[in-house]
Amino acid sequence: MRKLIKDWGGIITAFTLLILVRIFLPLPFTIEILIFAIYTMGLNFLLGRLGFISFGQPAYLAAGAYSTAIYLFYFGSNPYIGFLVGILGGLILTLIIGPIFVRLRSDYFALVNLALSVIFFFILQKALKNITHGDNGLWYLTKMSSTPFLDLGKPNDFFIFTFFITLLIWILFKYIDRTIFGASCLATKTNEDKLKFLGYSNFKIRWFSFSLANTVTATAGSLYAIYFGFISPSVTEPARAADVVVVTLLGGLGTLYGPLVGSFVYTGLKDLVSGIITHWELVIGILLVVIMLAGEKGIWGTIQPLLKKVQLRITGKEA
Amino acid sequence: MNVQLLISSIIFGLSIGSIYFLLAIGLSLCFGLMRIISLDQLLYYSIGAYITYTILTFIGSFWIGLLVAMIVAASVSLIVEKLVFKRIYEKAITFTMITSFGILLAGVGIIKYIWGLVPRPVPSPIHKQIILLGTEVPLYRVIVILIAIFIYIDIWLFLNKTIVGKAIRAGIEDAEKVEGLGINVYWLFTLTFLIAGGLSGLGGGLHTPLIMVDPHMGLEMIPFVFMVVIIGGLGSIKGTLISSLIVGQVISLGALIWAPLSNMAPFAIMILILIVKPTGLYGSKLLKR
Amino acid sequence: MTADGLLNVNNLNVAYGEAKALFDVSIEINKNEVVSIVGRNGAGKTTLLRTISGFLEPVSGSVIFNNQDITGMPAFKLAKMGIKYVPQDKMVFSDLTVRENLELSSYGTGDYNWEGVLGYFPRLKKLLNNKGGYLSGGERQMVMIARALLGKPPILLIDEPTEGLAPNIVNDLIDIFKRIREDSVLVIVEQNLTVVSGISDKVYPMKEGKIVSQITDREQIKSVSFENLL
Repeated sequence: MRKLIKDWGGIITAFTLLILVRIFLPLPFTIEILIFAIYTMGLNFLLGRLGFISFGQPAYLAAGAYSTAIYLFYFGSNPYIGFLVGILGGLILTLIIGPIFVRLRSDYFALVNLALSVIFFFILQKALKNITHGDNGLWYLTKMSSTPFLDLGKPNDFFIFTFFITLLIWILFKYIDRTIFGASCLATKTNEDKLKFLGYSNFKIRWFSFSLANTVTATAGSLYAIYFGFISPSVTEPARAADVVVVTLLGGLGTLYGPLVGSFVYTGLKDLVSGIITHWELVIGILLVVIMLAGEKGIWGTIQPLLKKVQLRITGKEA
Repeated sequence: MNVQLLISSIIFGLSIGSIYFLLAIGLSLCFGLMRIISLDQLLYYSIGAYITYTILTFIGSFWIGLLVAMIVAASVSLIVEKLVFKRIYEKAITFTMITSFGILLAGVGIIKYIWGLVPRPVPSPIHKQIILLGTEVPLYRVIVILIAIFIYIDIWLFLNKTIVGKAIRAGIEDAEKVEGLGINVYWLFTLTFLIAGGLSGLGGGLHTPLIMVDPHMGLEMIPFVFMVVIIGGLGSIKGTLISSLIVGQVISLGALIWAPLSNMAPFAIMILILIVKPTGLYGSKLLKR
Repeated sequence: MTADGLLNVNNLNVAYGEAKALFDVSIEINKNEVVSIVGRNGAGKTTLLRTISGFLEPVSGSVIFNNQDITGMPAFKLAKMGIKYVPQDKMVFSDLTVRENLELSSYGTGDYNWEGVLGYFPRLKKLLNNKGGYLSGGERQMVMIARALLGKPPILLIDEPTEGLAPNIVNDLIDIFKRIREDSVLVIVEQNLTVVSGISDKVYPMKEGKIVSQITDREQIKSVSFENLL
């Protein structure tokens, strides 16, 4: 029992807090935090475990969002199937491009991802205009059928659904961290040669983690698509690629709670600041530089040792 | 295909390629010597454009504007180098990339405060058309190409004929060994950053009559400039020249065939090149020290 | 803090992040000496040289040169002062000619007098216009040492000078070292024990980041079995 609390205490606290947030703060705000947290978890894994930074995350977000949107607009009306189609879309995309991308060095990887999001933007806006309706986007809010249990068309039900998806993905990443796979991911980041020596295939590990991380990103995209009932190419705007990078670092790179903390602070800050300052870039930019110069630990990375101390004091010497 | 259309397309492609070259060469040198990816160069590009616009509006001379733009862009880059980069040269490439992206975003925010959100048009300083191989082409575009050629020759002479340039070339191979010879590499870093910033400013200023000056111009430029740097190979000057020529032509000739191609074809080519050679055309396996 | 010698290293501790590499290392180097540091791979020899020459910053301890505390000074300043480090990778600037390689060193130290240096390495005179990338391993090592000798450095720190070189070139190098020692103090990290016993005045065996002992007697250096010490 004690072990259970030690292992899961943090997450129980975190998600309880989230439910409190849900009670005291407006629903759209809470939903945004959750989806953004999923979005961030993908990059957090990529950067924190593999050391790959990507400025092209909107591309994967769009892959999920547009797969869902196209299904709901042209083929069906069940949002649950739409959701699965979105995840599948992300998975297929990452499995196809993964072998090319993971061979690249980390700096090229970042730039090529950026390029990918630009290609996506042009494809969605211009090249496939017949299907995506270009800048007008696709509207299908009214086409979504309601389901008897957890109707995703209703914000409250959608919140519950998103809440459990977030929890599920969080548990998945926590589980991965403990497996040999998680360890070998970290090893690809820190010491490639040693890993080769041990007989693990770098390439396969990277390919799998790349697909996993960005399928999670696509999942976030799919949730956005269902939540808004509308999608336009602006999701892939290259200028927006910074958001997720900022949140990942803001929360604390490579930590499990980082994405949750980061999304919460970022979404809150954005709501507060945008009332006062109209030019959001200035704030994000300075925030980013400050986080990096302060030692890239982020909020969670900074408070975690403090929390440990408090916990130690409360539980006595047991640790 | 119409020959005149083809020739004017090629000139168009060369002139955009020239702008890309001015931006990419600084990035490439910075990567080669300091092993940093300096996305903030795109900020100096935007600053160059806005300063050119402002001086043109108040004094009425585009060329003085261009000169001031270069000086201001270089000065801002110097300040950023002293404030931020000095502390992070030793860090990983991804680290400098994220930090420089933060600088770029903050800079875009400041630009919005100073100049507002409205895109500003800059009239071309030269409206004359000249006849080239029986085709009328805008003289201004030809001048842009000539300036880029002039800059390339200057950089080549600097790197190959001066002792400081040789030290930079040696530093691209191994900066630590240059330091071991008693040469202050940190001064070389500052100088290279300054040159890169100035050239980005020049590129921004020269670009103004061809586009609209707006706060997001630097962000919109990122993919194209980085495509040039990636295709050429990070750290290679020759590669940067060749790839800016390629990208310029692919964009302009692509537009002749099918309009959306002009934006997508270069990226497709980049991905193809990276499948064949993951370090770009002339990129060597330069690793973080 | 002792500062009797030309170069004194006092209780030096060096770490790479969390991993400690040197533990309380102290050595003393006097004028007209050839000092060898021997030890297995990973014993901390290269770390010691790199710390003395300013490429690594120690956690604690000090380096005193000519009664001046030089701990933590940037490598280029130390190189100007005459503490030159020759790394073991034998890489000269491959895109630059031999002449340009030497020019850069002259630029760094302000010493443009190449006569003496090329006197040690007559072979380089013929290679001045060749690019560094096309030289043989032995020739590269010559360029590296010639480059380091410009500025008449009082202290030359050479990392594994003979590693991977043909025996006749090793013999040439030993002769050159014997001539250089008249002007400079040589500190050599070496695995080749015949080289060590041939030229050293003092030997510091290193093991696991520590100096194990100090051997100053010429006869003892020739006869001692290092295998037992390391």
